[in-house]
Amino acid sequence: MNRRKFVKNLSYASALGYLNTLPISAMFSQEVFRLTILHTNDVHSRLDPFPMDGSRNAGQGGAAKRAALIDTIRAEGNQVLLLDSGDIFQGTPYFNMFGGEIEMKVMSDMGYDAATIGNHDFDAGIEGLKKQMPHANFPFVISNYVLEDTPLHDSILPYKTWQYGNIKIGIYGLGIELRGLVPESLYGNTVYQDPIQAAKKHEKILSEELGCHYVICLSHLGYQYRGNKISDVILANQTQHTDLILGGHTHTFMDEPRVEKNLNDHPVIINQTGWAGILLGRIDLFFEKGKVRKAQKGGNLLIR
Amino acid sequence: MTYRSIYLSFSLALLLFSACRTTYFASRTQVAYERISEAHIESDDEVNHLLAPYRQKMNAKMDKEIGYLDTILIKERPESSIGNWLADMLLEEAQRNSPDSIDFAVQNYGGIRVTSLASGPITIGDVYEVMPFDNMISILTADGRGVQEFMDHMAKGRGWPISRGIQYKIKNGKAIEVMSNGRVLEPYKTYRFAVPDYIAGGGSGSFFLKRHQRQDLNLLIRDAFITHIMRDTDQGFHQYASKEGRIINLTYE
Repeated sequence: MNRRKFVKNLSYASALGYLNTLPISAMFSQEVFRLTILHTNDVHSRLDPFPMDGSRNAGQGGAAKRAALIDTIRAEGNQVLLLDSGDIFQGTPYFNMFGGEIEMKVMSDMGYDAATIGNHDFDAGIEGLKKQMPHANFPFVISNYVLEDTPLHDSILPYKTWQYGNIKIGIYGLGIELRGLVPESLYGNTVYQDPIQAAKKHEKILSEELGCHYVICLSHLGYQYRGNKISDVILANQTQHTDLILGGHTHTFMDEPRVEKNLNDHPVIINQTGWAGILLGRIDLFFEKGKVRKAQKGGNLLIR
Repeated sequence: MTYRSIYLSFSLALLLFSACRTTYFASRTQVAYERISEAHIESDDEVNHLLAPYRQKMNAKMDKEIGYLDTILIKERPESSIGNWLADMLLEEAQRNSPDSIDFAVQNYGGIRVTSLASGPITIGDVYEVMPFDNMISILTADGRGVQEFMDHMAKGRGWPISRGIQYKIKNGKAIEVMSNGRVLEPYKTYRFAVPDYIAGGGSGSFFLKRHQRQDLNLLIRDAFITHIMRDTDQGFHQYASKEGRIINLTYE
């Protein structure tokens, strides 16, 4: 994939043809804060680079290089939120042999701030996942799995917030339906609930009750499907306060983020970074203070 | 002014106020995809240190040679040498662990996680790379119509690996001339076939399989393959597989 450089006008005012509705007050405001979001998904225990065997991904990825890259970005001095959208486990013998312990240790060392749970994170059973939790120094967020009758009942958060000065960021997690995807014996008494209902409930808590200025969904639903199976694209269309969906499951490599309209016709950004830790997604948010209609949230999108 | 209209104008004011309040918002968003393999990125020593003891233990187990492969095996559709190799092993190991006769086995295409397997010594790590997922063997019982439905699903997917004991042709996304052990599929005859439990449970769009009678062998497919290869090696056999015309796609020929 080539690095591409272009600017995409994301402000839906212009996308919808209402070119002159940019609030005057926004013109006088200025950027007060920059947040760098780094994200991965579906790393699938790929701790070492793919072996140099002439295959397509030979030499790609690797946790030690990812850690160094993250450090370089942290050294730029901006606040960094490091996130993962699930399927941390399964795919190399590291997982088969050590059950996910080293994946958790390495992510903790890199300073991950939160992750959600993917279907393959149940591959050593729900007890197997619970057993690795002490090796993770970051929380797991998921809002549509009821885990009360499982060993994970005290290990998972539905959402989490971060405060940076005046600016508050909220994150909630969404998991894929496990039935038919993961053997029941592995997910145990986990109860899957409708992701859209869970999203609506938690984005509202984050945005309205807790006053978050920006709401992120860590999703393992999958980018998009034929038919009406719930996906990140459908989720974006059905929500009202979610600004960014960091997805996974479908191992989708993207040339640019997808921008969808939410229920209020406001833009929602959907991003995913393929799989196996080949890429690190980077999203820089530039916050302004000002009087603004929610329609202007998102502003200009630059892809580089 | 009635209470009703006071309430109305109050909520209107509130609406206007909330739509245009002073707040913080992301006015610009900048996105990049950073490629991890790029040469200028150094490896982080701390992470390498963390990994080292695990890597050492892993390699000690995974580098163990358990057999010998006489030819390179390729993953392709509709039929492939690696698919035939794996599906035949699945059939043999399912049969070995089931008292009733099994007619054939199916391995889902997506369950094979390598594009090829080089000839030469086979290590335990090779088998893990081919099949990292902890799928177990399930045995399904269905009549010929149920088998036809499954074959149609595979034809739609441009061909999944099948073992000896079954063959079909693909025409316009349908399976035609389905034969089992040399005989035309009979709609009301009962067939028994081995599949990964993932498929028996409806995975990869196989939801229609869920209505069939199912028996789960508590046996990981990967472990069954390792056992199979080691047994062959003990008896002096190498591994070998080729395409045999089990699946023929008429649409593209």
